[in-house]
Amino acid sequence: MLVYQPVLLAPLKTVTRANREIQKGNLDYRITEKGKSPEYEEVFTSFNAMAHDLKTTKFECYQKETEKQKLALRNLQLQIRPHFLLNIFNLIYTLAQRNQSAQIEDTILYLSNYFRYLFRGNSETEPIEKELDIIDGYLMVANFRYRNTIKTQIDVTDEVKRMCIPPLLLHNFVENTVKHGVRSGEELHILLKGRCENGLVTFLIADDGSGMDEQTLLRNRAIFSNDLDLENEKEHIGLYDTYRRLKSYFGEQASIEVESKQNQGTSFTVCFPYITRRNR
Amino acid sequence: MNLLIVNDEVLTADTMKDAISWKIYGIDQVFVSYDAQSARRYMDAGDVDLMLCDIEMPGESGLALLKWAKENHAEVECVFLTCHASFDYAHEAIKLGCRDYILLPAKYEDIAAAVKKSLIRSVSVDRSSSCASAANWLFRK
Repeated sequence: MLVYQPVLLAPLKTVTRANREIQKGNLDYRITEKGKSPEYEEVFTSFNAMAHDLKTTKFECYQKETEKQKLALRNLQLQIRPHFLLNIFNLIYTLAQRNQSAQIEDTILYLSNYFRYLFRGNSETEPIEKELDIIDGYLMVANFRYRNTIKTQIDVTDEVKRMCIPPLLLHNFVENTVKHGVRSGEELHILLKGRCENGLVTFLIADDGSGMDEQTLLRNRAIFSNDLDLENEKEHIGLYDTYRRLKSYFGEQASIEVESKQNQGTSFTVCFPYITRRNR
Repeated sequence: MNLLIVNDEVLTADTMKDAISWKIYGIDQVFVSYDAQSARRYMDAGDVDLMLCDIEMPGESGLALLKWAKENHAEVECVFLTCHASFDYAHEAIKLGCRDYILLPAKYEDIAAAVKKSLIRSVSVDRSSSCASAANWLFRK
């Protein structure tokens, strides 16, 4: 027994001690002493390799978790959108100043519908028909704000209306169109057209408003071809998020194209595969 | 003293013009512009002492407009309005020399009082106090 003590039992103790350190959470612990036999040397080396892998895996796990939380937070911000909400509050305040209570009622009803739509429970998507309803409300409110200068034509087939999409996808485009299209003292005409052909849905959002200059147009195109990382930017972030959501939900087949001429207007063409809730 | 209200939100601009009794606050005439281009025309005509300007406008922003105003009509003072409390905006606004910075929605009495205060200050020429009020806003956050 005394003969075995240094060659067998002592190295075993070393391994046990190392195991306890790892269990305590000290993932940096490594066996530094040399094995007294080739067999134990191998045990020590593989123990160290295992401890190393454990640490890397744990780190990667943590990183993935952080990414997930960031994305969830981003989605939440995307949905509640303080900018949007504060603008509506300002509108309600302004209407109150003017004693226009009927318009205040309508604005609050729209806001209620909007939030009910957002906090709809667990479903990831909603029928386009519902989204069009919310868009209708938005355009009514925009007409309070811009004093009835926005004329909209919505032309979407019943087949397309039945399809489900992640909420606010189209709403964001309409908002963008109103915000950037309105020219003082002039009417803004918006066309929202939705068709389905060969399993592909195409939405056209076109206006005859102020349009984009060359630089803005190129920038928009870069966003929609994935050439820009706008992670830390404030401008264009709405469209960038819309693009990312479209891609992450519909995959490769989804696309956004943009055409624009200054003082003539802008059009967005949004394409994605026709899918129903069941066959997704 | 003449005031120019600059805001792309037509209803907000019109209401601020109509619902505030500007005369009480020492304002003789109130003009309204819905974009920077028309605002520049009013300033070029030499009719404007102070502008009450929204920061977030499509095309040319309120910040760009004040920069232009300081280069071309240094005597025009500015009070900014915005719905969004952004540090970057406030910082830029101070650098450009705006008199005050108000978060919307705000009580119309408060907006009018800020306009009056800015005019009094612009007469007594005390530049440091405008920075103080903007700095106040920044650090209150």
